[in-house]
Amino acid sequence: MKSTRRGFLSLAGSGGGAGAATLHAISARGREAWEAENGFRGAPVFLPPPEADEIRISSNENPLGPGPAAVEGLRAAYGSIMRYPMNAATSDTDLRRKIGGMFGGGPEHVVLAPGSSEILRNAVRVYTGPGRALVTAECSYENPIRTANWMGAPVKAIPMTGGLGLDLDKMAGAAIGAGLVFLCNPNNPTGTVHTLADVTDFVNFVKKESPYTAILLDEAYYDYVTHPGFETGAELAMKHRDVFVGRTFSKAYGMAGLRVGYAVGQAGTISKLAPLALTFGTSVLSIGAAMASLEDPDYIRNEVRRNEEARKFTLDFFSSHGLDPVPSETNFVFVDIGRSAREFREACAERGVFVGRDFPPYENSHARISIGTLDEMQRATAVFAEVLGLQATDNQQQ
Amino acid sequence: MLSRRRFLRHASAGAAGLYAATMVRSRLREQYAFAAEMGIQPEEAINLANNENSLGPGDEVMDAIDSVLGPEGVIAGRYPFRFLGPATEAIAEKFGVSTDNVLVGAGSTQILVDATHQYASADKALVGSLPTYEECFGYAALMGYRTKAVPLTPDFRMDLDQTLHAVKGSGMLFYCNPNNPVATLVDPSDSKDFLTRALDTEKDLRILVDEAYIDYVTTPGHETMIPLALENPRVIVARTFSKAYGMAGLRIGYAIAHEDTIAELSDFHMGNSVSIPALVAANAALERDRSNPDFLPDEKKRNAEARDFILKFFRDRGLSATDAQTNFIFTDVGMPVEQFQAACAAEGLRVGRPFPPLWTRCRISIGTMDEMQRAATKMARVLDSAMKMAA
Repeated sequence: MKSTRRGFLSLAGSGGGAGAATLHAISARGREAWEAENGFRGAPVFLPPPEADEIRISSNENPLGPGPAAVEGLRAAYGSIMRYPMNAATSDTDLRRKIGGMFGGGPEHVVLAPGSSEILRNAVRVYTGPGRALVTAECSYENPIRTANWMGAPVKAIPMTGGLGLDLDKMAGAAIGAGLVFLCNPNNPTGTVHTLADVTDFVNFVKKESPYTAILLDEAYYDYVTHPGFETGAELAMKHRDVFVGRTFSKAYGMAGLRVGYAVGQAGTISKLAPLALTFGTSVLSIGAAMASLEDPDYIRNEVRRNEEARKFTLDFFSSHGLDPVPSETNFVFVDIGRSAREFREACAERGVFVGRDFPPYENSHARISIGTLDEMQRATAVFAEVLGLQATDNQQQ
Repeated sequence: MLSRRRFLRHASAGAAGLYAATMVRSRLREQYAFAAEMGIQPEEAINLANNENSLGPGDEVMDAIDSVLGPEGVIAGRYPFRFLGPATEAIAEKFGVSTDNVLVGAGSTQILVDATHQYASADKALVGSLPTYEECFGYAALMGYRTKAVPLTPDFRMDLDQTLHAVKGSGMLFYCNPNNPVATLVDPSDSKDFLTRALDTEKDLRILVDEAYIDYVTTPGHETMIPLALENPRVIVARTFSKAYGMAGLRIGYAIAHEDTIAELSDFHMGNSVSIPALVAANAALERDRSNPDFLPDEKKRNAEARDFILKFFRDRGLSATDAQTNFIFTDVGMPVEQFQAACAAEGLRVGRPFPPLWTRCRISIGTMDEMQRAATKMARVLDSAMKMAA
């Protein structure tokens, strides 16, 4: 069998073989669990049909799905279903133009992808290699590390700060001479954020000291942030070469099932990423839904408020029971449960509640729990209390 | 319930997008910069440029999408995994294979890229005809892979003898049959024998058989290469829902191959690339195949009638076309194709782009009979006016 590892352009990858595919049924786990275990494998994954009363809070999905305007936009695109995206009534270029306009640019500043995973993967393919390291955090979204391993690129995974934030100073130091920095802000799975001022200092430093190092600002959870100092890094992307922001419609926009993500940056940056993008990777129905969702900011505002309320309830539950959740700016919480995430996950699953996978190096202490509806979180926290044997430590917990 | 009439009304509204400016990709794959502002009424526009099926996927499929989404579309908030299994099983069942023999992608495009990535390289050439569908060659060019493009025979068929020479030392043969854009088929009595000889000629060779247009083949005796693919791990068959199934906008296709080969493709394949509506639609379409075995044959017949009509139109004008086995024809238009394309665009008709090096031949997709009749009127004006200019 020919080796299946192949680097970008002439750079031969040297990652190890992953062995034969074992396409076993994966139940009660989300996308990330599957990706973490399967690397690039896209082979069939079989999930059982949903049970009516199960609570899936494992994949950081919006439990309510897209807003009414988005669903209407999807249905309005039915008439284009037989057309390739460039021929659709609302085309891929229309969506790119719309998104580009949001950042003061045009379609040439945007590349679409079927989810932001492809953006992350292609960023690593373009900017890293055997002599060009990936810089990331020790506990962050792992997708870039897997691609870097596959590319044969060195990985510098910088340990977290005490509060489980990104150690921006150490990451900046590691970035000098590196190929790509993956800066996930807010960070998955820890839920922490860094202010625009700090990110600006970081980008300015790296681009000054190491002009050829690219920076991917992953803002998948951008919409959920309520921290006043946080803002998008898109202006930095438009200002600096090889700096770009990754976004997705899978989170607050409630379209994980529709597969739309994008990167925004200078036209020259995007032109490096775009050739690797799947040809017509995004469906016309998804384009219609995404386009319409951008015209309905009220839905996102309400979703953020809804999430914030359910998040606060969940965080309060843990702190009032003597646990120490990381303050979250996302639609998930990362909490020190003082035992293995796996045991917790399996015990919860037996009770119909599905929570996040292991996140090394905290797999023996922390669990990531997505924020469902308030009702779901009320039912889920009752299960957590039972599984963890928790007693309320004060009266705040209802 | 989405009625056919309502669906077609949606469809004609969709045509408004024809003249939305399209973006030129910076690579070989598709060069679409064309007809941005033609000032034509959308309902009069006809798109015969991209081998789409104007009729769409049909009511059963639209209803399935609509009902899975429900009034509020809540399910769209969930990742698609639970829908991938059933779609994969339905594909496997269609061909009586195991789900380990199936890989679902965002259109067969993704399968083509997966295979090119895995089996061609800077040392091991990608082999294909010149011209053929560009996706594999586009990716190979981007990656700096070696390529060998084999010119067609004078009757626009794949040159099997020359291809056998070219596969020596090569990594992958892209075998698009029927062949896009020239619409021709390898003689059914030669096809399997040729593939076997190619595999014997080069022991490391992989063959990607692109069967995107197989549902439109009317030559008796033509067979799928799926049995060969199941038997020989070096053969992959790519299929799509974009053509006869009318779902180009949903982006779903698949590979059928030996399970070891599917595992190799999966190693590079980016999973989670296909949306819930696409997976639901594929499942519904295959379910309809079981309950209504006439659906695909009827679509083939409908296409063949419209194809015969437009082939006769060109034949009557003394312009020769190839023996089309697809939902498009490839015909001499008696002038540079860019000139023909621009003149048709001015008539509100989009036809295929140039396919170098065949500069005076045009690829024209098959729409409905009504569309082909209206297109013929427009093309008659274009051809007549060119003749007058020449006279």
